[in-house]
Amino acid sequence: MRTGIRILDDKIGEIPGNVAILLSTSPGIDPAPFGINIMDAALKNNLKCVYVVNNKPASAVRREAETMGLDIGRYEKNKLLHIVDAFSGYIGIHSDEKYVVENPFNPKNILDEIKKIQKNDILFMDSVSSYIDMKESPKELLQIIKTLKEKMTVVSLFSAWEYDPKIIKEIKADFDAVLVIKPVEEVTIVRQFLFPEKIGWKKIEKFAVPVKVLKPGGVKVYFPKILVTGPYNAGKSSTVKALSSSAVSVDRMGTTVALDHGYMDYKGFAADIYGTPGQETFDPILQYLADEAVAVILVIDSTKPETFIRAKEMLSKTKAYGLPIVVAANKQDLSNALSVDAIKKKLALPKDVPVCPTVAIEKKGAEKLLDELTERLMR
Amino acid sequence: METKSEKLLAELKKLANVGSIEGSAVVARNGLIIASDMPRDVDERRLGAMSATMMGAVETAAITLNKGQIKRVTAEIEKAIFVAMGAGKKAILVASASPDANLGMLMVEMEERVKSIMEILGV
Repeated sequence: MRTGIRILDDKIGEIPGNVAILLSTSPGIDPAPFGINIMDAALKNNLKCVYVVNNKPASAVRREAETMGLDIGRYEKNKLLHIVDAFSGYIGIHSDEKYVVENPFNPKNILDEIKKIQKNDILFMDSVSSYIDMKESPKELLQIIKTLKEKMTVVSLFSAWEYDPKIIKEIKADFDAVLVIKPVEEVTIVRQFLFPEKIGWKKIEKFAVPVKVLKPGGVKVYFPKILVTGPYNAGKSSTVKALSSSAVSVDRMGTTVALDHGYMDYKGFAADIYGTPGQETFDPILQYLADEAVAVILVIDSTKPETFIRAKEMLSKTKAYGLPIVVAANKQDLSNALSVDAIKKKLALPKDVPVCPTVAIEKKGAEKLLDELTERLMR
Repeated sequence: METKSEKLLAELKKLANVGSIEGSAVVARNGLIIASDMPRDVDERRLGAMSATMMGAVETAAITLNKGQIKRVTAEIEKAIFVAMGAGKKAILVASASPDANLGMLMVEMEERVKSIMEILGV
């Protein structure tokens, strides 16, 4: 089993069976979309899942999945997924669900309902925190999770409200893995990061994964700004289009006068792409567009080495040095295009900056460019 | 404890109570969305990027004209009035209102919110 979240999967590897994972989020971040996303990844791998929900109607889980663009309905139809309603009993309303926990205050009741569903691979418990809100102590539920763990993998969701730190510590100690999602305030915006606090089955170094719940799209490793810059007529707009699943540009007479904007969605990575104008007259707005970028793609015209000085100037104007940089050596289809080696020599950028040959208008080389970029974003 | 984003969203919700306003957002001057209360069908990230570019371009034009600071940018669109207003060094407040909106009222409300937004952002 894997979580379906890039970088995290790359680093923690295959999740062994019969483990208990705690997915803990800071107040204000709903853990459910993360649970649903992991569940969707498991279902895609034909693993049988049960989703126990005690803080919203089962229909809300389906709706949440739908807004994320995930079709969990078909898995319910072919009995790969069962949702257990432990909410209706709590607030005392009637439920049309097939699996209903009559008395969610009694953990044995929850266990009995789950036992009705045979041969499960993964159980999602949404959520431990709501259970604490009902019962004050998580003890009995944790005991049940332990029992369930002998038969399946358990993923428990947890909103880390201001509980007694002792309780939180006790809860975390009961799990084989703890994944924490919290906001990190950056220069102007707040980004969400996933931190693996504990991975019981593998020794790992500390790392953080920038995540965002896209609706639709689901949980993606997300970068809010990747800058595409370079001299006039190098093919920046075409590069933005080649990298994006959807893109717009503000252009007049075929040259960008304001900004190209596109979305990249590639192998579990998502990013907003900002393409700058290349003409010097637009340099005053470059600083706005470039601010807070996390990586830079420098597009150059391989047939015009005389523009390379301008290319490097744009790198310093956009304060790109220090960020991951990938060069797109564009227009490689033209007969007078310089070779990648010749370009490397002429540009004289740091050795670890890759130069990728591209023909942006034909989307040639885009994949290699994205691979180089995402590889650097993972570091 | 309320986070900054929640506080900003609360300010935007106050704008939503002004009849004619259909959506609003706090956008960083670099185009990234800080908080948004735009209708679901509006691509807020793209709108953020374009609002910042628009503001940046007009600001540069203002400097070129030598006529001082810009107060706001108003775009009259077929089915909306779109207003962008600086909210300190880091941010812009943008709002979209129906074309028949009372502009004076709209500006007063937005200016009020700008003050609170600047306080929240600490700029």
